[in-house]
Amino acid sequence: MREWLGALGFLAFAVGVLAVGANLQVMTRFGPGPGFFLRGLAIVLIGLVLIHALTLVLGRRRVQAAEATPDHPEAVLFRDEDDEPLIAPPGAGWRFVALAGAMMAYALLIERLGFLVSTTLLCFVAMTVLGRPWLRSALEALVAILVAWLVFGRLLGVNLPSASLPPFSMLGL
Amino acid sequence: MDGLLGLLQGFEVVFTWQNLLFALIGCLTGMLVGVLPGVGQSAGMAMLIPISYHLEPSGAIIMLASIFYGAAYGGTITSVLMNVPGESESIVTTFDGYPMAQQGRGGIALSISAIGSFIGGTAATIALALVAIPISRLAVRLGPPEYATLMILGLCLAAGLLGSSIVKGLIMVVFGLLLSQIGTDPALGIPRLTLGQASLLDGIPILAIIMGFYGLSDVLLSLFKPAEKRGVAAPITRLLPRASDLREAAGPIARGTLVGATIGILPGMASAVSTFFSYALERRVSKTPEKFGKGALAGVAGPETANNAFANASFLPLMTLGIPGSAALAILFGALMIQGITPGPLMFRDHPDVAWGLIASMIVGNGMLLALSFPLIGIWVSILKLPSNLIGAIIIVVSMIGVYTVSSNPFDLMALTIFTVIGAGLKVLNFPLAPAILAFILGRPIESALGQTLNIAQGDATVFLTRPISATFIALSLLIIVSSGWRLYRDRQATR
Repeated sequence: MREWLGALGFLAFAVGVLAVGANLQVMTRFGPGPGFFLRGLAIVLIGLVLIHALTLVLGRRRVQAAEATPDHPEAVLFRDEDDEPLIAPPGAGWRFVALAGAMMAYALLIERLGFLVSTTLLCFVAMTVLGRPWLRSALEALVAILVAWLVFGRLLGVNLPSASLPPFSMLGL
Repeated sequence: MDGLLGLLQGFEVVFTWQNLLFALIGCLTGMLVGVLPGVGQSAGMAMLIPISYHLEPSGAIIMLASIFYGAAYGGTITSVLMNVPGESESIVTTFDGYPMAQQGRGGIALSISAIGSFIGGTAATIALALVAIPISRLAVRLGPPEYATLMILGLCLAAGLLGSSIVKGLIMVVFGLLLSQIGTDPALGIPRLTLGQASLLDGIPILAIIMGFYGLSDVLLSLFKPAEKRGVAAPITRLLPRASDLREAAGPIARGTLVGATIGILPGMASAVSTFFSYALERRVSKTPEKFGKGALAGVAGPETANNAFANASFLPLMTLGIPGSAALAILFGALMIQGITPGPLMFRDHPDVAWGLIASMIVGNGMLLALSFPLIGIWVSILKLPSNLIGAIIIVVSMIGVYTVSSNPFDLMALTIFTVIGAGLKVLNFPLAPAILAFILGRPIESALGQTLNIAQGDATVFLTRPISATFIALSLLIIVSSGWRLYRDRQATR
């Protein structure tokens, strides 16, 4: 099922690229146009996805690569980048969404709430979602923001954003 | 001669207190990320790119490069003492390193690894210094067709060499190339796939892809993995090797240096290939092959030396041809670009201080690693007890702050979040990310070289086949794809 999801995802991506880039010229009188490689690559991607799908249809389901041992060291070469088995402990999906959501919220809020408030919140949420006790997370978030401010703001001299949204802006955060 | 003079110039750059400090910070950080659970070489480098952005170029690149080879040694500590290889290339070290630790010889394994790494790394760096200029001069003479096909060959190697599916590797190469197409068309200035977003006119922020794929996606995926149960590290009784150990390790170290340096100079090769070949070679030449897997010193000395020799030699294709051979080097490529330096044959002419400073720093850094590895082993072992959820949160916060400080654009943070989720999804689906990163980095140079070639040849694509060098590269690319596909097909048939 997972393999099919991957194939479908890439197929959708390639079709999307073809659709969005449909108005780009393939050839100009100076040579290849802005759509030349784009379209060519999207078509190649569709072809590769079809080959991948064919291997799935023909029953070439993924065979777990043999474990590398002193007698079978070449198995190191067949190892995927991340072949640890995944499990789904209760709430893992929600925590994944919460963590990604906190990161997106940070992107949207950093210039409104300012560096200090938004980063402290991100740090607290990340620690709590990843499983640290909330009180400890709060204390560690305060220490982390202090260190981050010292390293980025003072040591590296980076201009960190201040809050634009009242009341944070009025407090000078 | 040019190389030796350049190396001297490089030492002048390195031997300032600032650059020595950056090398030291890099070595320590590299060893730290090599040791820490869930943080790899690439993630460590990715996280420090934003900090390096605020430093002057030579110091920044020296620091990042030190992380690159420092992490190789950090991974050895966990491989030997705890049977936990951080990255693929460290797996073979566990075969004999961990049995040695169980026999109370873990300290010897680590010290021989450090000595081998130093010798292998230094020898490879000197070789790099000697051949860099001649290869750069040759590379300057390559025309666009040769360049384009050479880069394609590098991508085919990255896609086909490792992993369980060549098709998936190629899909990721094309995916990376397509991502590189987003932004303004270099020839006509027309926006491509920008979806009306002005922030996308400059393309996808390179840091968003690198840090999303290599730093943060692992943190998010850690929610779906069982809590890592790390055993207690084997005690270290004796650290300094005896004369008999040194004699026993001399041959494997010499052979490991040759294997690592030779494989390292080939674009697109992975470090795991060098450690595998070194292990297989040592077993073959050994008079007591039955000892392998039970604590043979040669089984640690050879691969560990090859690993570091590979790491240092792999800078050659990056610095002379502008082709990063691995995801970690692609990250270094990105860091150089962010600093306004284009890796490639002109780097030695346009930025000699950075190029030679980087090469000289590898010798200094390898010396630092050798000196640091003995007194700090106790500290690294205690760092292993840090909870992974705390490390994960720190990675998220440092990465987010880091990306923002480079561009001061919240859009980059959004892109980082999106690529973190995409990276996590691709890892779940077992698609390798390294080929996509390499392809993303090489996408624009490939497009430019292909475009120039077709323009010069007035649209005649057979020019790639009529020029002997580009035809050879194309033939090699096809050979790699076909042989990788055949190798995996045969392997699957055998395991059925």
